[in-house]
Amino acid sequence: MKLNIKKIFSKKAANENQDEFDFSRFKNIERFLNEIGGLSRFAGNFFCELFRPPYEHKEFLKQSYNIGLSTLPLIGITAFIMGLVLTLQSRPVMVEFGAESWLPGMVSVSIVREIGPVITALICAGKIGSGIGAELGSMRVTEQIDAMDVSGTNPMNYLVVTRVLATTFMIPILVFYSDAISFFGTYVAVNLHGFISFPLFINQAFDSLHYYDLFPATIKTYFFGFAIGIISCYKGYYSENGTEGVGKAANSAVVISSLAIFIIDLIAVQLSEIIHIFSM
Amino acid sequence: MYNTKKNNLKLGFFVAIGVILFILGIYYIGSQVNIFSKKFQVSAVFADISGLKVGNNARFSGINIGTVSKVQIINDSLVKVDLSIQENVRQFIRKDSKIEIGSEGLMGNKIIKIYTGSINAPIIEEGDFLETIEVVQIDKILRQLHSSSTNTVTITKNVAEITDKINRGEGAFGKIFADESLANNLSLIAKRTAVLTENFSEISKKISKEEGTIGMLLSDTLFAKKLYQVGENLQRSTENLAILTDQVNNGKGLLGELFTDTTFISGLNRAGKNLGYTTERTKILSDNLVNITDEITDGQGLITKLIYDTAFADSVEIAVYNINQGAKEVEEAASVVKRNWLIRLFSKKDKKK
Repeated sequence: MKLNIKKIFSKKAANENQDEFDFSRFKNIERFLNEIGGLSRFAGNFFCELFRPPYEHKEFLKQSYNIGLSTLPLIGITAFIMGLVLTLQSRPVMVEFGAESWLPGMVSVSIVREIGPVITALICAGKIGSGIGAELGSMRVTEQIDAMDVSGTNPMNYLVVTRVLATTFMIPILVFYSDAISFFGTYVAVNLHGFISFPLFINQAFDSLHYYDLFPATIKTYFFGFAIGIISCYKGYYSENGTEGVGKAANSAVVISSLAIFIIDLIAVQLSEIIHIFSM
Repeated sequence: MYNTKKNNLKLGFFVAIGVILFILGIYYIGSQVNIFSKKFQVSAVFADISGLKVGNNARFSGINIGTVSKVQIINDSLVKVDLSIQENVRQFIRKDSKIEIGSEGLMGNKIIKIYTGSINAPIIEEGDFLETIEVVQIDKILRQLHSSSTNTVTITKNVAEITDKINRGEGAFGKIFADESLANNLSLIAKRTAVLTENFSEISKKISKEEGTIGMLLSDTLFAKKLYQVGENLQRSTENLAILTDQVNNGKGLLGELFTDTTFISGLNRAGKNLGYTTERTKILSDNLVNITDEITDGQGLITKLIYDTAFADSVEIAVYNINQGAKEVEEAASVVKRNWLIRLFSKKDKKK
């Protein structure tokens, strides 16, 4: 059995060491599976701690403030530019087809369904994810988390639950702000090349929107927030190897959170399509 | 240092604004599909709905008043469409209102158009079915367009042939364009028409100056009144004539009997026959009179002598005179006799008796 595996999987290993199977090639897969497993267990712990007192209200509000309100200026600027640029880029094509009046409707659907939630989540993943990863990572390497554990404070409850809940509830609200500011950016862009009154713009923008555009987009932002929070906390909570590990934790928190956002978005689109078809 | 109170206030404000934005979004989207207003259901049955979907707008006089709530296949040729219409426009939709599937522009969504019904028809009720107008299919239009283009080809071919004939001077139109005599005739006609119009112009001037009968008719009120009077008289006459003819039809009067009473007709026939006989006898009598007068004019007979012979007339006159004288003498002799005693005696005896 051992010999058969050698023949099939590893010529190099067979040459170097004829007696033992080298699993070095599968280290990445192993690491990936370990990460998935660890993340799942961490999420399970989160849900266990979520309903277990004490409830850290103050820490939750503090984290909500840091995640939500302190991110708003960045989100606002990005959303405004996003609406402006999207409209300006779409306009020539729409004008070519004589459908300039459809511009507010088209852009509003794009913003509400996809661009608003995803771009906002990505920015939050960059800013908040890296912040949480670095903060918890530094607490881990400086053994503050261990100290909390020893002192009787549940670090999972105090550090993780509050942050994950904060990201879960703040990111949807940031997306509402982002959508509204993007609409304003679109309005400005439309008025750069012509004139449209604000009430007419709002009517045209919302005329193309339906509840099946708004609700799936809103629901998926909760998952985006949860994913950013849980991944960032996990990466920071289990960071190691000193300050280098803190950097890696912050970096991997951003990368994996961003990847998770796209995967969740893909699943959400498919699910919303299926639900929309069945609801008709 | 985290200022809890101040930051919590800011956070609360931030969250409240975010939630308000979300609620506004829900409200605006809901108002577009009229989700918050009271609604009622009506239905329509189409043979083909041309891609109409649940959620498409229903319009009345160009205003969105509802949405398509359900699309259901009834059988192999009919599709039932349920509409959710705002309650506040119910009063404008009548039971005989018609419904049609339209389109928002060339590439736009399908919409339902509801047309207003008659004012006298009752207002629509929950669950009513509206009469449908069949959708104009694009492929049907294309088929008609193809047929029209085929006809156009034929028409242009015919027009080309006609213009060729005209160029060659064939036919009436060809003569118009090529024949000079026709042009001269037309010129003459035009001149005469000019004269005619001039005459008409003069006539109209006279009419406007109230000259002639038509002028008087148009301007003279007295004449018009007279004419009106004539009309009234004529009307009365026709009414009387109508009464008369009615009476004749009903067999009243002489003419009525004439047309209706068969015994009268037979009597009239007999009278006619008698009249014929009388005229025949009169003719014979007149012939005889003619003969007599001829004889008189020829100088034959006593009457001729009486008329034409003066000597005979004188002798007749003398004879008449002598007769008168004789009569007088006889009268005197008779009076003498009466006075005789003998005669008087006899006359007394007679008186006693």
